[in-house]
Amino acid sequence: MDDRIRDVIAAHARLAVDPSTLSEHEDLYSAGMTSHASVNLMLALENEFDVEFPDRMLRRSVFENVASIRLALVELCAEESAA
Amino acid sequence: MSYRVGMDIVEVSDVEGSIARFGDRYLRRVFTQREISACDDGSDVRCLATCFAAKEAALKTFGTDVGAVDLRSVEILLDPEPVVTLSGGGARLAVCERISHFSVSVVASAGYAAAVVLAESTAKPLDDHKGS
Repeated sequence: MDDRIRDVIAAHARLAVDPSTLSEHEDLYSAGMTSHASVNLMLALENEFDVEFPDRMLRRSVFENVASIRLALVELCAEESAA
Repeated sequence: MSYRVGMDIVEVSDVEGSIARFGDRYLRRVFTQREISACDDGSDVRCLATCFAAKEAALKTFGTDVGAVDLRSVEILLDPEPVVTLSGGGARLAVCERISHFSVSVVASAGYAAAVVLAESTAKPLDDHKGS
C-alpha cells in the first residue's frame, strides 16, 4: 500500500523533494505540499483506492504524511469491506 | 477586539489542471453550488481560483491548520463585493474563535489569484494562546 500511496504523492502533491526519500511520518506540507495540492492528493487517492473520504476525514492531519494517509485508507477499506 | 490576517495565492493553472483531472468531483468537493454557479457554472477558472484563495485566507484567520475543515463550509461570493459565508465546521470555528466579521480583498490575473482576509475577533490575540 505504501508504494501506491507514494506514487500518488509523487504525481499530485507537487513536493519540493522526491517522495521516496521521505520517512512515513515526515510532514508533506513542510515538504512543499500546498493546500490546493492536498485536494488533488485526496481526489487521486480516492481514484487509486476506490474509496471516498467522508467529511470527518477532510482534515489536514489525515493528509500530512504517509502513515496518516495509510491509516485513513485502511479504515476506509475496512468500512467498505464490512458494508 | 483583535484583528487577524490571512492571505493566500493560487495558480489559476492549478485549478484548471484539477478540473481537467477530476472534473465535477473536484468542483463538488471544494466549492458550494452557489460558488460554482457564480463562477459561470464552473467554467470561469479564474473566479474559482479567486474563491479558493479567499477560502484559504479566511481559514488562516481561524488560527488553525489550513484544511482542518471542509472547504465548502467557508463560502466565498465575489460579486458585488467579496463576502464570506460560514456553515458547518467553518461556522463552529468562528464561534470558538469569536470571529464576528470578515473583510476580504481579492485580486486575480491570468496566472494567479490572491486574497487577503481581515477577521475581527473578541478572543485573545493568537500569540497570547501560546504557552497558556
